Amino acid sequence: MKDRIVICTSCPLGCRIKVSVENGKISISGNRCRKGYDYALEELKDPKRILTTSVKVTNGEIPLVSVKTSSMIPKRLIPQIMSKIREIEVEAPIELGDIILKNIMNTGADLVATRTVRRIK
Amino acid sequence: MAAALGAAEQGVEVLLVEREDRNGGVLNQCIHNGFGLHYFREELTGPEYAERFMKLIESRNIRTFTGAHVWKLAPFENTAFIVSESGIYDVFFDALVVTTGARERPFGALMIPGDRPAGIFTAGLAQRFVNIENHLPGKRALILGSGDIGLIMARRLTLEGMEVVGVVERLPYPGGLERNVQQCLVDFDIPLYLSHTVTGVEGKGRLEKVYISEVDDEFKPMKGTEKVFKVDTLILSVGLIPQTEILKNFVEIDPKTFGFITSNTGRTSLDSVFAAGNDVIIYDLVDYVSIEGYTAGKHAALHALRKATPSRRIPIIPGENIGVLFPRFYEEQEDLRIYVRVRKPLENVRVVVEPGIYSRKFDRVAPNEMITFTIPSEKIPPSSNRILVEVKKDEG
Repeated sequence: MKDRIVICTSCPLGCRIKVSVENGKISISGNRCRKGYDYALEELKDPKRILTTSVKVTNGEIPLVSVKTSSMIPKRLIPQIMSKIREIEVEAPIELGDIILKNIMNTGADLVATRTVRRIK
Repeated sequence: MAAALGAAEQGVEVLLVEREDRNGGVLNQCIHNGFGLHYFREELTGPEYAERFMKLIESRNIRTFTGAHVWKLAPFENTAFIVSESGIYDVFFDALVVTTGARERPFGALMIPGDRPAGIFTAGLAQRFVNIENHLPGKRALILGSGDIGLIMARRLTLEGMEVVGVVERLPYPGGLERNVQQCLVDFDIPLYLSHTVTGVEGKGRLEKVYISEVDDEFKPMKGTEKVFKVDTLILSVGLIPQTEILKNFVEIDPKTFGFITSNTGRTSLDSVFAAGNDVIIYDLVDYVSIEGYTAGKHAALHALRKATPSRRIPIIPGENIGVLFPRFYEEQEDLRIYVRVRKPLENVRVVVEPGIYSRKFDRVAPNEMITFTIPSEKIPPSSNRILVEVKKDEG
């Protein structure tokens, strides 16, 4: 395999990390922290992302509550997780940090609310 | 909110006026993550970042007035005129901080030939529809402009079931952060057309077709490079314009960017008026906006308390390769945090501040990633006539 440049998405610095594989040995350079090293390694094996999206709300001040996965999930599962999320609906009030879905598709990550939605009426 | 916090911590009475029902501005619709790494040492989504600040200001002597609009300011009479559902108010102040942010450059400013159908949205408007109001703007979209909001919306619309056929950028490099190119476009196989622009839009009632072409070095479309996309939606991410109209006849405004011209304390050309955030320059990160907001609030409070008389202002001059520079004046009662955007991508350069107060080497710099650094006030000779910021080729 040739050298590959991976743009680390762990934080907005966006380090350009060089990953090269030679005779089964992986060498990683250009990262500015440990997170970057781990990221580059994962990116080679099974890329992972935090998913942020929204969930329908009934009786809320707005019709949606923003949510995120509590930890990184495999990128390949995003389409399936999105169709699951599209089916659910929660009732206001919602507090920031409320768990909307537990252990989504056995990833170990929960779907948590990222804002407060007050109840109206 | 950061300005209110910075002011309240000096012990003054603070009124925070917000047009919407909830504080936080555009953060509330930026449901993606990437906020807060500098300010809170933690990665947060926009609404989480906003709620962190709501908690911080709740614990202080700050009155917030939401659903209220400042329709006029009379800075010489130290008065703000406010309209709200509950009535009309004249508010008197000793110092004012203006944190009105920026607006998106609209479609009308681009002078793109063709029809004027429905289906053309700025990225922020589309973002509000999708993330707050639960409406999808269309079925198939093309995005013009590769700024961060454009990239984020490419991913967001894809996740919500729209087909995004591409992102078009007239420059030869992307406008947004590298990580957003990766996680918003590459992750979802959305093509990025660099050195391309939209040359026409067509549609009766609703948008039907968008024409794009490759551009030359002067951004002129080249013959024979035209492509046509059958889309019902065009999303624009073509830049932000500081919102400074409310004070345009009172304080100095940069005629090119429309941003307020301020010193490192946030002070404008009027001693009692301060400004911070995207109404001064367009920042990369909300964390920077909060830091400068906090600083402006602090110095506004000191002004209100008559604790600090404005010191001599040393002008800060943008030199070689500098596109955007903040601040434009230095006052000695605050350290000098400089924010710089270069004009074009460069390699092996040195960022230098004269008279000999800062020098640092960079392997790569690019306009989409702001350079920021702090020079402690003790290092700046008070007798300096000017401070010059430059990005030069590194010789050694």
